[in-house]
Amino acid sequence: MEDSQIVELYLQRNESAISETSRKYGTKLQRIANNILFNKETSEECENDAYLQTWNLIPPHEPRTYLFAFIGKIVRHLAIDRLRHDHRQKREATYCELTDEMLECIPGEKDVTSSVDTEELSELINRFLESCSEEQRNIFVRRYWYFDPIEEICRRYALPQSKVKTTLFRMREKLKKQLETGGYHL
Amino acid sequence: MNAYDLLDAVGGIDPKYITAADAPGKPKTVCHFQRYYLLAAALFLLVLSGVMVRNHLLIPGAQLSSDSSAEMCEEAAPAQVYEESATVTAEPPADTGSSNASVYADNQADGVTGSAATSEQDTAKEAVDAEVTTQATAGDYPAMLMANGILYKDTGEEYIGEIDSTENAISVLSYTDEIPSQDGQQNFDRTLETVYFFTDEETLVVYLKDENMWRIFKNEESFEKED
Repeated sequence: MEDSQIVELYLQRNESAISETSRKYGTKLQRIANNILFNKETSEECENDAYLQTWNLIPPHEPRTYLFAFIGKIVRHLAIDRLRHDHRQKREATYCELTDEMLECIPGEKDVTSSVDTEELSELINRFLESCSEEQRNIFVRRYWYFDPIEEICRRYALPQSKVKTTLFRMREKLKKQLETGGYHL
Repeated sequence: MNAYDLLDAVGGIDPKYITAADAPGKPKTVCHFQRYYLLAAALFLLVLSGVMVRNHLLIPGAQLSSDSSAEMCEEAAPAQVYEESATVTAEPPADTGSSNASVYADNQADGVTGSAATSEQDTAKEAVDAEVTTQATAGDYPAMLMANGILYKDTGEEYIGEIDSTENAISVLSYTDEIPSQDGQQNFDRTLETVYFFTDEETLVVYLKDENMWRIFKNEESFEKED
């Protein structure tokens, strides 16, 4: 079923919308959650919570052309929140690795509390991704949006690990400079 | 701002990038090509080494007995060429040694040298019985030597005169794979142990160490006259 038809079902408040979403995107959504949680049951919970939130968000939203990105974003946030909640004392290795990598992008002093407009920051990242090549962009998105491990990215794009790691490193450096010029110097 | 803010912000990127990254990856064509490149390179090296071995090890320096060299040439040369060589040496030459020598020179150009036991007409019968000996020559050229700016070619005839001393013999100076172009240069002895002396302006007598005999070399003009 097409995304627009599934969204139409949500708009009509038809409960089959959830089963159709699950049939089409269930596996992918669960993989995103599992990439960071490493727990099948918790990932399933995140997936189900994402369906509930989607049900509540459509309407007013109508993601007819980007349904997967819309629900993916929800499941991603839910997984990160769950990880932060469950592992407040004990830091999960993968999440720690990801946040450490992200930390490299932040110019100036790290972990300084300040109010940040997430939407504005997302816009800046969009501009940054626009300036990158398609291959670089895909690698970046697979790593920091889908939370794919490096090995998985190498398999997906038939690239050596060194190439993927180097690409990510250079992109983080580039993003850091872009954040500096965007006024995110702390 | 901290790493969590940034990670959250990545969550809000344009959906078109998310969809693009979700598309199936490209097939591993590069890896397949790499394998083919390696295979081609290995094949090229194999052929190259084969050619080098053939050119530099087997042909010029081969010191084989007459039996084994004959066998070798029998295998290497086309059967037709070998038969022609044997037939020509078997026929009694019409003019003393001349036609034999010219045909012999032609045969040499094909890389096969046949030699009869003697060049005299009345000993032609012996030549029929003589074992056809063949020797490998350097490349596709007959044995040649340049002296005093004149190129001398091997006639295939053994020098049967007496040689008192080799004190006056001249040593060759250099070796080439092609036609000699300098004085003292020859194309059949890499060891440069060959010596020669003049009998007249047209003729040289050259000592071939491999065959342990003195051979008659004549200049190109005398070959043409004989033709």
